[in-house]
Amino acid sequence: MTPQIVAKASWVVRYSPTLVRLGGLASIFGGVLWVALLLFVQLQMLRILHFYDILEPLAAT
Amino acid sequence: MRRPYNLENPILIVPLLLFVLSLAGLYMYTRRQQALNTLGTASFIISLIGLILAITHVFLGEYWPWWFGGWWYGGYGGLFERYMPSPGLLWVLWYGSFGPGFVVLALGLVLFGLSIRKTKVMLSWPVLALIMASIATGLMGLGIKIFVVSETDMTELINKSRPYLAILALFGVAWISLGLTLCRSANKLITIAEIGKGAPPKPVPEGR
Repeated sequence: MTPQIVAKASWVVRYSPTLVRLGGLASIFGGVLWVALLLFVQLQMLRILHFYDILEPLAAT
Repeated sequence: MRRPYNLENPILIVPLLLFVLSLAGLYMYTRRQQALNTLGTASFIISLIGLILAITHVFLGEYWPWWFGGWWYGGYGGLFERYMPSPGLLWVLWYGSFGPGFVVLALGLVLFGLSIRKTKVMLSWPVLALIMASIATGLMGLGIKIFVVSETDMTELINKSRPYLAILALFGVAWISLGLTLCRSANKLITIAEIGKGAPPKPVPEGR
């Protein structure tokens, strides 16, 4: 019985679409986060967001 | 304190780690579709090394040049100084590409593109977009490094350079595109009946 379970588990790990889907979701979230961080950087540079201006005095104290 | 809007912010590690997962998904998909050969496996390993280098670059930040060492960074320390006393222009260019990670990643993806060239794998367009974005990111980084001497100036220029930011954004969009294609393809791979038969499943037609 155990070898069969191991064989099934091995098959699932090697060929299951779940891991492919997980990779796809990670790619989507990663891409969105990447673009959001770039946008955040630009908004800071343009002084539309003031995150750094708030944090720096706090860090200095 | 490191500026939170610096592009070398450690937060960038999070999407880069997610890209590693994505690369694993791409590897699984290619293997499942029986489109993986030796070149494909090698290219995945190279891409993975590239992503790990990029993560290391972001994580180590200003300490990364020290590990590379060499005369352009005060002329002390580093692994290369020990084994290569005069590293020369090549290593300057190597470091200059926003960390060497993107160049290695681009190389790995180009090899992957070559490996699936003759197969009927659907992922051609997203992978092609990712290859182009990676190459552009690496080349832009190299260009900036060639024309800008100091590291501080380079970071400032990257932060202020709109074309470079646009290319970096395209890099993210390419990953999103790859993710959407992977998810769509995964839905076609559900072959529960084949589980336990032992033999690898047959490739699923792309139906594009």
